Amino acid sequence: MSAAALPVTVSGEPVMLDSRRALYWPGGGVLAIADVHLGKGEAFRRRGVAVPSGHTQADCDAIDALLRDYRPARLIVCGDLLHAPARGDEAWLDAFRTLRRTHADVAFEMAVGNHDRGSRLPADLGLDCHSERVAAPFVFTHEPGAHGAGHAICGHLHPVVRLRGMGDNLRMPVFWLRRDHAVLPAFGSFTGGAEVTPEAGDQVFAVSDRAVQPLPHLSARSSSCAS
Amino acid sequence: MLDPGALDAWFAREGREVLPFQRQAWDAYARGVSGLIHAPTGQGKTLAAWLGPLREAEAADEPLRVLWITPMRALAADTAAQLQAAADALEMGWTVGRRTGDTGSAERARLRKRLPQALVTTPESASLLLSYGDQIAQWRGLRAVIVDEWHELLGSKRGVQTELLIARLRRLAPGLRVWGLSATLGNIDEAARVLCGGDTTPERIAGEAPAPLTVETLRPEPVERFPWAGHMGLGLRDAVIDAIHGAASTLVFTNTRAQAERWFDAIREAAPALPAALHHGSLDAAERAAAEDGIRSGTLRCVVATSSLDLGVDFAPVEQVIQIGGPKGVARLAQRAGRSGHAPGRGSRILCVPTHALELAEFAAARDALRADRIEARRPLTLCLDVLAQHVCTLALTGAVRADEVLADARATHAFAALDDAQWQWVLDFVMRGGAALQAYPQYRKVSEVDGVLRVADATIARRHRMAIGTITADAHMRVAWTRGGTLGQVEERFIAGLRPGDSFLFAGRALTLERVRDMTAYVRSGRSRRLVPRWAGGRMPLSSTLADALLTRLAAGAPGRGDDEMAALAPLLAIQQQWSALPAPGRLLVEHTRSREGRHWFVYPFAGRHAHEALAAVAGWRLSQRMPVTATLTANDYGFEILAAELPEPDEALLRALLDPAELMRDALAAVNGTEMARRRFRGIARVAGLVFEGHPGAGKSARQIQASSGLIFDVLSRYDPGHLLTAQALEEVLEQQLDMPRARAALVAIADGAVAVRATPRLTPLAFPLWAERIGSRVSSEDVATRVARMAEQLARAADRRRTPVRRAS
Repeated sequence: MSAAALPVTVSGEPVMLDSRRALYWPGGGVLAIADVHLGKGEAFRRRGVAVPSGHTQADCDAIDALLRDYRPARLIVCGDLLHAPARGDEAWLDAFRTLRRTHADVAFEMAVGNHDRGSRLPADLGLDCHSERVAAPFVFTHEPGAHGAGHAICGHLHPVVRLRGMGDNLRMPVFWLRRDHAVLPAFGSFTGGAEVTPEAGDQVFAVSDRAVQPLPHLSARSSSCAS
Repeated sequence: MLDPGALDAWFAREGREVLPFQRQAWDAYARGVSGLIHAPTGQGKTLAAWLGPLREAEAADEPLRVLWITPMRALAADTAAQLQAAADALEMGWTVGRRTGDTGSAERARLRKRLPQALVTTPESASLLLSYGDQIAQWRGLRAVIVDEWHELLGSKRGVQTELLIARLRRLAPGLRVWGLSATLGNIDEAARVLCGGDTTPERIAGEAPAPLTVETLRPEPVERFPWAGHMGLGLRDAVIDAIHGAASTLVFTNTRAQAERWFDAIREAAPALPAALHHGSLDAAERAAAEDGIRSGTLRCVVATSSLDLGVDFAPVEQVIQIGGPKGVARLAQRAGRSGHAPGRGSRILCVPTHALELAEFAAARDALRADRIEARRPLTLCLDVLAQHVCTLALTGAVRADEVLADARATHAFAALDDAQWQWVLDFVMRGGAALQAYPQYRKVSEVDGVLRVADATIARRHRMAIGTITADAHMRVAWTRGGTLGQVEERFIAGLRPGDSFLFAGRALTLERVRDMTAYVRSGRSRRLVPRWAGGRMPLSSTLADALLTRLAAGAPGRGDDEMAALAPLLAIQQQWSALPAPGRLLVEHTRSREGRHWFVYPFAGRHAHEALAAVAGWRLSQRMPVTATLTANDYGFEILAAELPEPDEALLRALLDPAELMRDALAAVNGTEMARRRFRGIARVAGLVFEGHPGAGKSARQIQASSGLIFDVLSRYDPGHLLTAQALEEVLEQQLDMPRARAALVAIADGAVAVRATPRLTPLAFPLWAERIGSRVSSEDVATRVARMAEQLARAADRRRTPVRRAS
């Protein structure tokens, strides 16, 4: 898979929107992702829904590749690293431990999301958990919305938009850049999406396997696309 | 045991006569055999099936003796009341209970303790009851299973579920007699064999020959003014209203709910004083019941309905039945007509209203087929592994079945007679270990095997499975409710998803404006905004092959025959068709090509029905694109398909034969239609049946939310991490067999290969081409990747946005 990244400016800072659903901020040495939902398949299987394993390893591999490509000082997860409250014996923890050891020089930080609450994570994961991370001009947090401490980089929504036209119909995950905050697409490969309705002044970038593409028509007017 | 004379005496007291087929059915039942009773609505099929077992009643405290399965919850109440009335009149002491999804919790609890002597239920509720291990003993005294409206279940997964549950009941109650009730079908023998299981030849009992059925047509005056395309037919509104005024009671049948809503709106606008109501499957049960009562009691003069009134609902026949639009099937037209005039000696009559000119020929063709007794067949489904997986879990809940018993019972059904060992092993692996790729499913547990017996240990998983049993039929629906409170009905989630707040739509006979959507509920207020959404996605039945054949014969005949008013009315149009091009005919494929400002058009008319045409258009378009660079737009309707592109070659016969070659059809179809994307959508139903998606319910706790994922997402994960998954393979098969109707597409291509091809260059759109042009919904042959498609749509949508927000013209 050949990834692509699109340079844009957010709150005056140049950042890269990566097609692997990550945001890289060279000025702060930060790689930000959101909504990884590690262990989601395991939660399903434990409750009797036969979902195959494999996506958690794939997600850890994807984080590994991003860290190798960008060499950031900090990896910040904007919430929902985990899908279900961790108990400490999950099979995926080993995959994450390996990732952590491979990148021991990178600070792994997490803004705690709704799915992360109630987890008891083993200390050897080396995860620095807080409700939010301030790094001016940004604040990395989970819940989207304006934030007093800075321009918020957040997740939670799993934003997607639906594109229709000329007989075609696609549902695409997006970076949704708004006036005072930016919503990242969900990173995890076993995550769904919720359709969002961009408003005038928003910028929307569709993410596919090999491209990040602006969708100017979604920002130009006050409602979603015509059908 | 009641003496046969008692039945005659009761009939005599009621002022009725025992019909020969009823006596035949009672005798056959008494001989201990199984079978199928087929007769038109209103001849007394219910009593033919019921009195056999009822006669054998012994005591008021017997265990369950008769299980009566009905396809519709709405029918259960009426049926139970009718059965109980007969039991009471004959003083048999039996109680007839009812258990459906609508049954209240107190009644459910009572039935959990003890089943009555007869129980009216749906296939889903019957399966649910079979999941309780402590109730097994109560099934052992069962003598009869009666499946009402079997033709409605046959051909669907619910039919497969019914086959499986009958096989299970046979094991619990050896000697069980199975009887089906059915309307007339083209494959009635097969229907009987599928229901009764393979080992014996089931009895076939036919009702009285139906009274003659009259098919009449409303014709526009003058016919030249009649639209060549369209799907509402409102141009004939005034004539329809005259007809309604001329009868004491009228049922107006439409093909889609959108049509029903529009016609109801139009009738009320033109005749505000006429007591009328609307009836379709999305409406709240109370509204539907009010409409049924209104027709029953005579307070309503007119009810506009969809197929929601096709079956069951018992009321005295109305004076007049009107059909809006082509009936699409002979059986359906006959069934609808059967709603009128049941009085002895008086036949049924149906008044047909075309929505465009060519439907006149469809009506004439339907009449031909009825006269010749050619009725559609319904093909039973086989090897639906999702249904089998659900069934295995259901039985495992009892904690009292062995895997080899379940296999033996399944193979005794028609649906799984051909189940091979590998498929069975896969189903067992799926429910016990998650899948065949064992290492992919660590921590999974659902069904386990202890000492050879299947069981479900986890109470939460068991509860969730029981709730999922009932979901075979349900598509994802949203409640439509007033913002100020109160429910109007249910509508497909997909339809609501296409609306924006502020958009208006017609629903339940009202113009509504969408306010907001929350928690699977669409909140609306009354009123019509400027943007009225014209129609909602609803299943449009493709033209049946029986009717298509009759239609082709009709069109080929061209000139009107005796008493053929429709064809006489159509004559001017057919003359134009003949003059500009040619008439289609059996054994000769008509192909037209023309040029317009839009580009080059090819119109191909195989007359194989909408679904098969979609497949054929995709295959022909794809094969063409392999020969030359082309981006084509494809359109299909019941008569044929269109290929449109900026540039297209002359369609000479050699080229057409190559594009429509039956060889490698499947391979090319898969390449052409993006089978994966279609299978992904199709997977929704399969995932629900197999228990891979769990839809939340009110009050579901957090743990339920943590295992909610869309079927599309599950499909992606399965395809990627368990590529050998048989349920994703099943999704693709269902797309090919059902959605794209490959069997019919293949038959059409074989017929084309054996027949003649007539190619005509036409100066402009012909009467046959025009409906296709108007229909164009635009499906594209696309070999481009996602990024390219996004870029194109983004550019196009941006241009559209720049052109101010003029309303988008919709093809209709």
